[in-house]
Amino acid sequence: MRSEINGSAKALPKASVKCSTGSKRQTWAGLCALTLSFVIYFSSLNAHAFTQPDATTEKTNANAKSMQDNETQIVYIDAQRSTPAGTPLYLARPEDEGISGANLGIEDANITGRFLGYSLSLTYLPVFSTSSSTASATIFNNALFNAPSTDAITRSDVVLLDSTDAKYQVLINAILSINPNALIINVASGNDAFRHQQCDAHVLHTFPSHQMKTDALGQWLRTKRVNAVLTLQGTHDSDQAYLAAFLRTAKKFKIDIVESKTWQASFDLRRSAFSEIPLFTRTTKPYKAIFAADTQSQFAYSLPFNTHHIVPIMGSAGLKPLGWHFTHEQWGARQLQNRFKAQYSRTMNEVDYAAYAAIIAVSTAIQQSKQNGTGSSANDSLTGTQLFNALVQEQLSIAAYKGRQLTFRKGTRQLRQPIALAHEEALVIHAPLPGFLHQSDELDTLGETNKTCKDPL
Amino acid sequence: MISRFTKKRFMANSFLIMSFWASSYSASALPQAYVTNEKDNTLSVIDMNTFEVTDTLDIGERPRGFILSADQSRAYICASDSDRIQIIDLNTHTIVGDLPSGEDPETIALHPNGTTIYTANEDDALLTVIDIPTSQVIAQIDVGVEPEGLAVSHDGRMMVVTSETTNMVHWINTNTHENIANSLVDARPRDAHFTADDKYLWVSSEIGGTVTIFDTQTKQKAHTLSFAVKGVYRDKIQPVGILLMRDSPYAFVALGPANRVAVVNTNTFEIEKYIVVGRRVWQLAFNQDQSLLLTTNGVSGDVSVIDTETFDVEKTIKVGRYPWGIAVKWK
Repeated sequence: MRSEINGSAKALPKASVKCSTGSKRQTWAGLCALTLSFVIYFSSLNAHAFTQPDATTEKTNANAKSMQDNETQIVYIDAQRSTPAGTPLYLARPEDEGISGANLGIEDANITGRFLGYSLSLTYLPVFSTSSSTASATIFNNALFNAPSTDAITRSDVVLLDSTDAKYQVLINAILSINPNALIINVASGNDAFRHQQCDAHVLHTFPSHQMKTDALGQWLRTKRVNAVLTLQGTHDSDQAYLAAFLRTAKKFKIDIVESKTWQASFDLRRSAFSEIPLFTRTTKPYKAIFAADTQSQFAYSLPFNTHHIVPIMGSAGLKPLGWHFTHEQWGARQLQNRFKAQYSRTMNEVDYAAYAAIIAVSTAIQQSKQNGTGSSANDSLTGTQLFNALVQEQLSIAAYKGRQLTFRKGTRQLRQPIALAHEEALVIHAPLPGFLHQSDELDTLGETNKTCKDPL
Repeated sequence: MISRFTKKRFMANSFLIMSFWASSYSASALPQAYVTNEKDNTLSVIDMNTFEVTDTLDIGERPRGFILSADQSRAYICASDSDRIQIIDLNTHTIVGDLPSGEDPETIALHPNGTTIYTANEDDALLTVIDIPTSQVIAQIDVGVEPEGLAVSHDGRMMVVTSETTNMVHWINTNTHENIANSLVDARPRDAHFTADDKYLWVSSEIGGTVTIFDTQTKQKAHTLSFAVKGVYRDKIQPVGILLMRDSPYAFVALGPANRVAVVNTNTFEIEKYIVVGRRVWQLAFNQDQSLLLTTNGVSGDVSVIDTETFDVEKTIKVGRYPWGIAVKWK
């Protein structure tokens, strides 16, 4: 059946995933093995999809090499593999979170690239640590500064950063010290403060900010006329940032915060939630909804049906504001969901999507330059600076299954995007909700917008 | 004043009464419109004389693309989730077979020779070419991610396929099955149509919000249409289905969640009117003399019937959940 494959299409360089060897840490070796299995898996998949059935991995490498001039190299730094103690196993992050979205993005981008003569390649760099505190900065620096990692970052024009809030700053500094011109795309942190740092570097955020998410909840609360909310937070750093965003939203939408409580996570809730949670959620004044900031899944999962006043839960449990949810099917999303599930045997989540969108943004910028014949000569890939300028200064729009053209905000370098309000069974609605208007772009009703990067939060 | 539409319907009704004497089987009351309901796995049959749904047939899962055979005795249905193209006999309203479509067929197009059918395999980035008499796959052609819109030129020498995520129009030589050129278009291209003289190709871009008109000789953009509806945010204007009239200089473009069909003057490229129809208008079909335009409205689950002279909606017909493909049989 495949003997008549289109003759003019060029053989496609594969999404190559290179492992950094030479690391002293054992986890690396294990992950490299995992990544290698990805390579083999992808090679077989790609051989099936794009080349003659007898294509071998060597052939793939040869192709990749011959097109290297036109290849945009991307590094994926994964610094948040560990799930904290106390998080139920069934809520743990998938091992391949984020990187799988990036890999799917590379595949999609390279199909387009095949027709236009460009390709993207991805190098996976796991940077794990036993400690989650900033004190371990030196460990990260050492890990990043080992020779193969440094080489990969130096060679690359784009770095995708999948990091916890605690390690984010250290990693950005480390990347910039190796490659000051790299385009860094944050695919995992929603911390609004990070949207006001590194103003001179080329840092973009495809993961939605906490403020975008809490504003989406704010629109829902206004629409449903719910105006008295109890807020609960965990003890993790990012819980604090998430709650702070919600409090700004509450102020904006005139929502009354009945009380704010902190869960100390001193014991495991699962067998005692029915007796503990009512005590924890008892207040002097009644509330009509609960917002939980529990980014590490330490207690929010126990809230529904257990609270003192039985009300809707939102935030980290119940109604969740997300960059992507597996129940989203509209605007061709179903096709992306299907492709993802077929390849990775799980549903796509918002970190996967942010990584996918980051790759598609880079690919769109390259596509645009090929179409216009601008930016670079036919045989060069775009630099990090050129990519940044195309995406931010020229406001290039990206189509990524959200039914709208997505662009980056010039001030905060945040990707404008609708936020899915979803629960486990269904998508409730995509924010912006009907009736929330903005003078220039409805998407700017979500998150902070009229600020330059240097403005404080 | 008795409108053209009412007159036609009056005559049609008398015809129906007469034909009712002749045969009690509703399938013989022509013309009939067929609508695939994506989320019901059914095919609605609309009597075009009474504008009522006369039958609802169970078909494959997630039916989308729907076309008639050259003699209109059969139709081909893309049952995407069943991974097949079903063949339905339109005289008996029974499924009589399948074509080997490859996975997840979304749309189909028929070559003017009547024996070659093209289908886009959305999940596999492939265009599959099938010979109908032998039920064999002749070729599979690699195209961009999520191929969708298909069009074959009237002279049968060239065809195009649009790819939604790659944002391209792939031009295919129908003799050699070779991809001869690729043109970038605005985001998420959906539908494609050749003009009657094959000189131009119209392509809609759903997220880009535009319709691009290509010169088929040079494969270069000749014109780009943009749309603006007062009171509708520009993001909601998402062009999908396109139809060009045979004899008069008008084209119709379904604008998705803008809930409107744009009327484009093909001489001036002016948009003369936006016709309000049902919610999320998707695909379009004409009746035989092109006096009526039918639209599938996905969210509201109905079909709007538009008079192509007055550009007024004359009728709204409730069908199944998420109507998608549509065609009118008159032979």
